[in-house]
Formats: sequence, structure tokens, C-alpha cells
Amino acid sequence: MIDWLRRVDPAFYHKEPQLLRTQAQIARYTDEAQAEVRLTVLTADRILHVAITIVALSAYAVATAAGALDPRSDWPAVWALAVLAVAAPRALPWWPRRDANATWRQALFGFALVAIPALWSHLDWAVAGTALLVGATLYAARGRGRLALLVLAAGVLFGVRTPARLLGIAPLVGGLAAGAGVLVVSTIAGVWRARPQVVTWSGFASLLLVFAYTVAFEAPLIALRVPAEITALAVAYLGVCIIAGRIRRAELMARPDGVLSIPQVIVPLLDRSHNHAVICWLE
Amino acid sequence: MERPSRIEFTIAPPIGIAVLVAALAAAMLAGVPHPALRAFVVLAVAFPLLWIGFATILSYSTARALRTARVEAPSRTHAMDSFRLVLTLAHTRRAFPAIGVLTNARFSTDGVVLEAGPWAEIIPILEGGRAATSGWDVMANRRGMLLVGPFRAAVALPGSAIRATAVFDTTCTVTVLPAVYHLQPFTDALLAGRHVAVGRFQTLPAATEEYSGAREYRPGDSPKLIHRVLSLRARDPNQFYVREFQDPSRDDLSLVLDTAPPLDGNEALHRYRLEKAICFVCALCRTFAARRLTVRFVFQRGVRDVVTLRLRPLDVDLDRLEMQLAQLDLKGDRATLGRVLLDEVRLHGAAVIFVSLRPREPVEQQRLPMVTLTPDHVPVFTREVVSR
Repeated sequence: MIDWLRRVDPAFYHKEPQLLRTQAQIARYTDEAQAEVRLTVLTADRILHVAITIVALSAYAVATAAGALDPRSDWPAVWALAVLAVAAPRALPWWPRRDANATWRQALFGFALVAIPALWSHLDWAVAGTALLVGATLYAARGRGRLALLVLAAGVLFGVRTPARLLGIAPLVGGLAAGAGVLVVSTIAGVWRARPQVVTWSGFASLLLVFAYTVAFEAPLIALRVPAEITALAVAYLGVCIIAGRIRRAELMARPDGVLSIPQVIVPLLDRSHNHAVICWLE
Repeated sequence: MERPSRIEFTIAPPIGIAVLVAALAAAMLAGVPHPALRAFVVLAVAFPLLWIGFATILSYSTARALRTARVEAPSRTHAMDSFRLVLTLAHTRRAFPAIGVLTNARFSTDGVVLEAGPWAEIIPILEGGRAATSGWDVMANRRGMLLVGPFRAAVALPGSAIRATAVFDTTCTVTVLPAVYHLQPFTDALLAGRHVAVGRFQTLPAATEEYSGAREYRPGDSPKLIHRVLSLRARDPNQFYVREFQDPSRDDLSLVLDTAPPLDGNEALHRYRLEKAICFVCALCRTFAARRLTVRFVFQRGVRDVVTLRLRPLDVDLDRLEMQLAQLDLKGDRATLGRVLLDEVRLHGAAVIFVSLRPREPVEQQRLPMVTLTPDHVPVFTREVVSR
């Protein structure tokens, strides 16, 4: 009988102890895997990208007092705002992968952002120079240089607003502001994968900060164009609401749409292929 | 329809709240000194607050308005077989639809709990006064009792500060019967011939029914069955005896399952073998039932708790066997097991098949006229059936 058994399943005597030692847990749908699926959904969402672009443009319009900020006198602030409006959305993790012409498009977009509002006033060499500077920096920034450019732009925004009598410490102010921004963004970056709706709140907070910055430093200019400012801010807020909806949609779509199981070593190995106590399929 | 027993909240991440509060404070500090910009300031500050507050209140009220209309789950299933679990939720508040409701069920079996997921989207929009269903295909591998419930339904509108989860305490119990195994085709060949060739040592005639004895005549008995010799020997001339016949293959087969825990402490190996053995004896009993045999199935359920089931070739008896085996554990002891084997062999005189959990039995049991199937035989004899 023993010989017959060995002939039928000769490997069984060696397999059984190994099977009983098969206690590796197979987490099929970890939070990290689900976050990756969610990121894939967000990356493919064109409506989300359009909404983010609209929010960025509206925020730029609010920050420049609907084009009233003069690129001739305040060219560092205009440069920094344009760079942030163009480069910040593209630094988001769900922005589509860059193709060969992405850098050119980004540079042209930045150039147009500064040059087009000036068409209503007077497009001269100073404005064109600022627009070219925006385009050139956006074109030149590659790889980690893009993040450095964002940090530099945030620092410049606050550095240039330092009172004249304290101009010597302007780099310090700019550096502190940029450092605080980096700290907050990095903290949010550690949370958003698990709780993506934090991006919505961050969007509201960003617009509020843009509003506070503009009102604090450009109140006389805003007073001239309050209806336009209100319109731009309302559009930006609505854009954030659309972003919130799209993120929620991604959360729903990125559910584990297959098998979810709990691997347990105590479950007897009945069929030798898996050792899960309860396995659920979702529709 | 059942109301939620409680509402659980998951608050937004603290960093999100902190950033928003700081930004609101900065905006208000910057805007207050400029009365000319009041409309602008009001819009900037009020819009996010209103949106978040509106979404939060709606999330909470929607979760409270959800009701469980029905839970569909079978009362029993086989291990390694899947069943459909359906939860029907109704939305009682007509003012606003429930958007993106996620449902979740808690599964627990002996020592195993699946609680963190899976979340299933019920429907993107559940309108007021309507109901919708959410379903899972569940496969239970572990034999025993599977407890399904409580159920949860989570609502979190975009931008909401909370995720409101309605908890429904509805639970249902699913008995997970032993897995359905089939015997290998060559096992059928081993069992062919004289009823159970493997388990029988005495020779039997090939007749379907045999003479088994005589008893007194009762009204209704056929006169053709009167035992003439015995009737003539009786003292009373009006006393008659009739011959009795019965199928010799009926109720003459004993199947004993070993449930004694291991002596060497390797409990994992014995549990694995017990699962295999349970599935094997189920398959064996089904095969005997198909051959119209009645089986005495004996096993020990606990200390001094020996259970004997008389399994006729009926579905109801096989169901009873599976229900008993679903709860079986390693609760036997060697002394009782030895006594049971002796009883089966000596008192009942039947063919005995002993499904053991140990590779080798003691010498005194080896001498008993019975067939012992060790854990080495069981995997070879059985063919696992996975219904996925």
C-alpha cells in the first residue's frame, strides 16, 4: 500500500510539511496599493486637470488684482506669481507624465500669462522682458529644478514685500516663508495618499492665502477692481469644489474591485492553493 | 427597516484642519482693516466655511437617514464554496440624495475577523425614498460558524469634515459545512464488489436479501411467508411463525472518525489532518449512500460524548452528518477511541472503517479486524473540488 501511495503521489510526503509552513501573509489590497490605484484614476482624469488649471489661473488673476499689478515696477512679484501659477499644478503627483513638448508648452503658457493681460494696457519691452523671463525659467527648470523654482518663487513673493527699511533681511524673510511652505506641503504630501480629501482643504487654504497676500499688499489696486476680483475668486472656489468631487470619484473608483481576503495561518490548508479564512469578491 | 444603531465619525486629517484654520485667520486679519473690500472678504472667508459645513451636515444627516431593508445570506454553505451576500439599503430622507455610499460587512469566524474592508460602492447616487443593493461574493474556507455583520454604510460628501458611518447591528449566521471532496475514481474501484470490499472480511452471499430469522405472525403478514416447520413445532396449533428477510448490506457498516488530539504536540499538523479526514468521511458517506448502504457513523464530540449517527441513504441524514461535522473539533481521547473501536468490531460485528489521524495505530488496534485509513491514504483517495 505504501508503495502504491508513493506511486500515486510521490511528492506528498515532502510537500505536506512545507505546506504547513506556508504562513506568509499575502495582503492583496493594502492601503498603499489602493492609493496607487487612486493615483492612476486621478492621473487619467482630464476634468480634474482642467479644473486645477482654472483654479491656478483664477488664483493668478486674484493675486495680480485682475491684471492691475504692473509687470514693469513689480516684475519680481509678477514673475513669482506666474511661475507658481504654471509650475505648481504640474508638480502635483497626479499631473500627467511629461512628453517631449511639455517644457515648451509650459514656457509658452507662462509667457502668455504675463503678456496677454498687458495687451489691454501697454505691451512694451519691460513687460515682454518679464514674460520672457517667466518663459525662460520655466523652460530651464528640469527635474528637481522645478521644485527649487517653486520654493524660490514662494521666497521671492514674500521677500519683495519686505519694507524698504528692512530690505537687508529680505532674503531671510523669503527663506522663512519658503521653508514654512515646504514644511506644510511635505506634511500634506504624507497624508494625502491615505486621505485624499485633504487636497480639497489645502485648495481652499491656498486660495485664502492668495487672498490674504493680495489684500495685505495690494489693497489699493484691488479696490479698483472688486467685481473682477470677486468673480475670479468665485471661479477659483468653484474649481476647488469640482476638484473635491473628482477626488471623491477617484476614491470610489479605486475601491479594491477584486478579491479581498484575510490571510490567516490558522486556516487549515484545504486546497493547498490559498489559506484564507474568508474571501470576498466585490462587484 | 432597521435604523442605524449608531453613527461613527472619522474626522478630517489634523493637518488639513490646521492649514485651513491658519489660512482663514490670515485672510480675516488681512481683510478686516479694509472696509471697502468687505464683499470680497466675506466671499473669501464664507465660501469655504459654508461649503465644508454644508457637506458635513449633509454627510451626517444622510447617514442617519439610511436604513437596512434586507440582508440576504444562506443559512449554510460548504467550505471552499462561495455564496452571495446582498445588503439592501434604503434612503428615507427625500430632501437630498445619498451620494457615494460605501457599504461594508464584518465577517468573523472562529478567531478570524475581517472588519477593515472590503468597502463596496452601493450606487453613486441613492435618491430619497429609494433602495439599492450592494453585494459580495463570499467564500468561506474555514469550517464552522461564519458570523456576517454588523453592516456599515459610510457617507462622505466632497469637502466634508467628517465621514459619517451608519452602523447596523443586523447579523446573520452561516454554517460552513465541510468542503465537498470527491473520491478518486480508483477508490470507487476499491469499494466495488461485495458491498465494501475494503472494509469487509467475512464473505457474504450475493443475494440482495437474506433470511434473518423468524417471529410470530401478525395480522397483515403475507401467508406465503409462514415458516411451516416452526409453526408445526409450536404447542398452540393456532400459533404461526413467519420468516423475516432483510438486506444484509443495510446498517452493517461502521465508520469511525478519530478526533483525539495529538500526543506529540504538533497540533497544526493534526488540525490539517482532521480537516482532510472530515472531508474524506463526508465523501465516503455520500458514496455509500449512492450505493444504498446504511452507515453507522461514530465519532467523539467531547469527553464522554460519543455520537453515533445512523445514516440512511437519504439526503436528510447526510445533511445531519454535515451539520455535525461542521462543529467537530479535536476533542476526543485515545482511551475512549479504543473502546469505541472494540465495541464496533465485537458488539456490532459490522465491517469497520477507521479514519485515523495518526500514521500508525497501536499494536492492539492493528490486530482488530478493521481497515484503518491513515492520513497518508486520505489525500490520495480524495479529489478536491474548488468551485471557484
